[in-house]
Amino acid sequence: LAELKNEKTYNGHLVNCDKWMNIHLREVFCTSKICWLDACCRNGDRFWRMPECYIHGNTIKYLRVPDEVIYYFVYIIVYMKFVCIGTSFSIKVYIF
Amino acid sequence: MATTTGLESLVDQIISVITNDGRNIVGVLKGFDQATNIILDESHERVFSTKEGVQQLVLGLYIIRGDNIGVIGELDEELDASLDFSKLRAHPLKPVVH
Repeated sequence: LAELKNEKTYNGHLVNCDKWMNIHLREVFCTSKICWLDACCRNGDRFWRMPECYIHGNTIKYLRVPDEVIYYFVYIIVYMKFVCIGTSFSIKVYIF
Repeated sequence: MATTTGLESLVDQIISVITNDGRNIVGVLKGFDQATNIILDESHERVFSTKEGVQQLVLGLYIIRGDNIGVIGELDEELDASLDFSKLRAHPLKPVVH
């Protein structure tokens, strides 16, 4: 379970992204999946809010995308760039 | 050198993905790229446990990054529909250790 301890979920609005899946978010809430700071937080409690954040593509595990933006496409980054900008995103990030 | 990863034949089909953190996610494959990043629609995660039946957590539209994927497999819908998840008991998968 050591890996799951470092998993965080970032929720925010997508400002920009690039072909390496680096992500720029605004109005970000960061929550932790598993409590790793004893007595500090519980599962799923929001414990960080930041006006913006930049996430390195390497560290991303999953991206939760609103259902309304599904269109037929082949390339993921092109999809994110042209369809998802401005929409609200939820990203699960594994922090090393 | 092949230009496709062989996932073309699975597009618009229900697939089962096993990720590096030991999750089993089932959904419809909508798209993929050279890095095996995939787009899954109507996805749900199946959580196995030895104590209770299988839990299905609905995820909706998901992009899973290629680095995090272990296995992608075709799912037989009929076989899947015939499974009684409330009676299924199984050990959960462990995350990948490098």
